[in-house]
Amino acid sequence: MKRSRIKSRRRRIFLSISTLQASIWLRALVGILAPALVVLVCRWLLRGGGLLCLFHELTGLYCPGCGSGRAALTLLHGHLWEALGHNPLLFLLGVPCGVLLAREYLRFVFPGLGLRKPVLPAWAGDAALGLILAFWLLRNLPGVTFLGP
Amino acid sequence: MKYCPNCGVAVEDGQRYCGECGAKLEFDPMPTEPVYTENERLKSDPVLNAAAQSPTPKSKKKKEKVPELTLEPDIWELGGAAAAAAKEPEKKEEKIPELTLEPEVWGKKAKAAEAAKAAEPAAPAEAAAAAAAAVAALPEKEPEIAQRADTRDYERADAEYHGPARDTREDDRRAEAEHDYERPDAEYHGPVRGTQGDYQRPKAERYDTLPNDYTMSRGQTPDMGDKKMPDETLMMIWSIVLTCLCSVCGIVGLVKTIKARKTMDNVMKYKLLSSAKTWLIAGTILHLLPFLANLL
Repeated sequence: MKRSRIKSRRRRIFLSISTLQASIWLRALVGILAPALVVLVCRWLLRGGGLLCLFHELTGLYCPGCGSGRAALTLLHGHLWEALGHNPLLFLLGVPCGVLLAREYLRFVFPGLGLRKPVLPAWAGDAALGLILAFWLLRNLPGVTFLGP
Repeated sequence: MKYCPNCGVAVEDGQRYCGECGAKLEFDPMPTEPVYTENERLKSDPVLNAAAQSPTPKSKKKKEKVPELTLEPDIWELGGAAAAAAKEPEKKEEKIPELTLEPEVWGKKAKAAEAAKAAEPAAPAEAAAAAAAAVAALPEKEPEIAQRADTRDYERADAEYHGPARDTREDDRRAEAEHDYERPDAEYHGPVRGTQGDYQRPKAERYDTLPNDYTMSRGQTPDMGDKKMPDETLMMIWSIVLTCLCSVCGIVGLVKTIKARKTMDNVMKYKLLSSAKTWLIAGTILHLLPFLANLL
């Protein structure tokens, strides 16, 4: 009985250490890869790289994300109004969510910072979905051209 | 103007920390007036100085004759007592009326005795008769009070005046049940919620009475073993960002995440969030494919 207890305790300690080590490695990997990926994507955009939209290719209609690549590119060049004209949803939802995502990244990679988990209100999901669907619908209406890319 | 004791920079009144060196001004900053020691203060104060300089009259001490000490302390005490008694006149010992547990009776008896005394100095027999009459004239309740006080049963007296004593056994049992985590406290608060750190209770017992609360320790949920519930906040943020890049996958992921948020069933919630995660990963890879292809 005692031996089994010692064994299980040792196993738990081993698992916890291995879990800790794994989490450290994972955090290191994510900590290095994520910013590297962002930098590479921005560099690729600046060199004229484009992002393919399957929905537009298949249906000819604009999806909520159409124009976001051009908006990101013009934003990197410093033209704010032009970026807003390409895709206003990027500024309404994309940028704040990007900031939250960056905060989550910091919280995951550097747990010692003591950042709190963001708490979204219950209506956040419904409001975001409603906004996205309304934007999607409006930009595809014949008369509304200012919302298009 | 006051100065910081650490760096000497001038500080304002009421300032807690020095603006130059950051030292905490725990004690009062250096005062403008010089600090006197106690002796210097006494010397400088004219009132205290005058009082100190005035001569004090010497009191004449009477030398009291100390009785001789012998090896027999009892005798010495007696001798001392005798000597003291010889000096002081005899004092008539006043008879103090007996104190009992019947304050009212004692008070009334004392009053009756005083009344008897204050009366004309009649013959002792007549005085005694008068006192006895005064005592007999006490109200009828006296014997009852005397009886209650004699028994010294304060609980019974309390019950009589304040109502019957409350049975606290039910309260004790309830209090004991509230803190007894071994049995579910369904009688008072419903099923007991599992808390973080509650690893001692067996799994089956813990989950049988628990509501569908996915905030349990380590994100575990019943019927899912050790699988961790995906973070729904992260899913939502990710899906919104992906919608701006690859809308189809992003919207599907967002819808599933919203559904999962509203679901109370943990199993369904896990399924929806896992599915949303799959869609989001797929959308991210799909959107990054041209970039990755170009990179390669």
